[in-house]
Amino acid sequence: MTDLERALLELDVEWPKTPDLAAAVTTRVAPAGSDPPSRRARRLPAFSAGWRSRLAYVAVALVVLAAGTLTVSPDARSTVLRWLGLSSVEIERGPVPRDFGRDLNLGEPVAVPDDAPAPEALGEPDAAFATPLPDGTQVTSLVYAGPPRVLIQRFTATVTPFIEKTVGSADAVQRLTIDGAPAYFIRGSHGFAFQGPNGVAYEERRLADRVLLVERDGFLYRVEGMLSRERATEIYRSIE
Amino acid sequence: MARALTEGELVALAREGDGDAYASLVRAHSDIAFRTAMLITQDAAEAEEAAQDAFVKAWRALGKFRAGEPLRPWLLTIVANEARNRRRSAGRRTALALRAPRPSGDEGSAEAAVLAGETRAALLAALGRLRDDDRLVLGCRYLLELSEAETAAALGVRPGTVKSRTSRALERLREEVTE
Repeated sequence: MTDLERALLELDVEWPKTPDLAAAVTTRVAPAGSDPPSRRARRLPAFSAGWRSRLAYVAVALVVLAAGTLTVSPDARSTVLRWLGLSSVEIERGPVPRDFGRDLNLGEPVAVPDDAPAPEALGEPDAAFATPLPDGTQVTSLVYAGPPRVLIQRFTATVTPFIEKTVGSADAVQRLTIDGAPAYFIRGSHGFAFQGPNGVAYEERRLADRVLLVERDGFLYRVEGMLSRERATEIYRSIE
Repeated sequence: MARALTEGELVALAREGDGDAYASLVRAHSDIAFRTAMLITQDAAEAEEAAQDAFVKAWRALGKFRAGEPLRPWLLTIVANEARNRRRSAGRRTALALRAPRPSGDEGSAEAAVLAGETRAALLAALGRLRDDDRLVLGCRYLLELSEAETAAALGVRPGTVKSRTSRALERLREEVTE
């Protein structure tokens, strides 16, 4: 290295103060709940001319709609159907299969109870289950197909005071206050311990390793799914 | 036990829509993004807007980012493009300045310190007088200490071009300071 290069490296420049870019950027990026960057990259390419392309798009659209994974509003769906020349076709979204959510080991499927803690932000749940808990009690589990899949529960419990220890090898535990209620947003969760009417029990991760737990009015609310903290909070807040 | 997330883990979370994870990435790279933009635009307000726009564009393009690769070179490509789009042709250019040297507390070296300070200021001024390509490559390599790959990404050229441009720019800088 020459003296000149060394001198350049040693220059102690008074850079202008870096502005708070994170604050400005996060107000501009896509709001939580809309398409994340990874899904946008996998979106179908723009429609191009040619009847073969059109046929392929019709086939894909029908499959996607029938699977119930096309998460667009009814108006947008109608527009797509008209564009595809399918406005005279009625495509009904069939009922979610009874064994949906069986892989979550949530117990027996049940009808959604009237007092179920269904968040308005998610609408009607796709399935409900009577889930036995480790402490011998039972809770109604509401499951939304999404994507992402979301699990909502409300049980008579509080999390233990030592939640950081009981989450095991979780990557991050954030203590929050949501509308005055103590809450925890956990990433990398394998489960958590809670204090129920029959004592302390440990609830395993069911669906995703991200969970928002909120203690309010003697209940413990659980919002579990691959959600950002903001989206999970928004969902919780829309539970009446 | 809680631990900090790695860049790869933050990127994976951000790709799934996690705004908190992306904010962490923005914070980690704000300095280098802003200063790279500053080198190109030579205007702090333009540099701020360029860096901000670049982070927003990067968020939208995260789905195309190759997982496992380092984020900084990819990010600096976007920052540099935004900064180049915003660079004004003339007039409002802010020259870089040096930090005030810390007092050494040794009277015997006060004169030496002043001379050294003047030399450093002259060097920075000479750097500012170079044409854009020369100033940018030296600024990236020596003021920001970017690697050859990162400098190439920021300048939109091949790494081999960075090497040859650096060599020529140093020669021109040497001529400037010895005039």
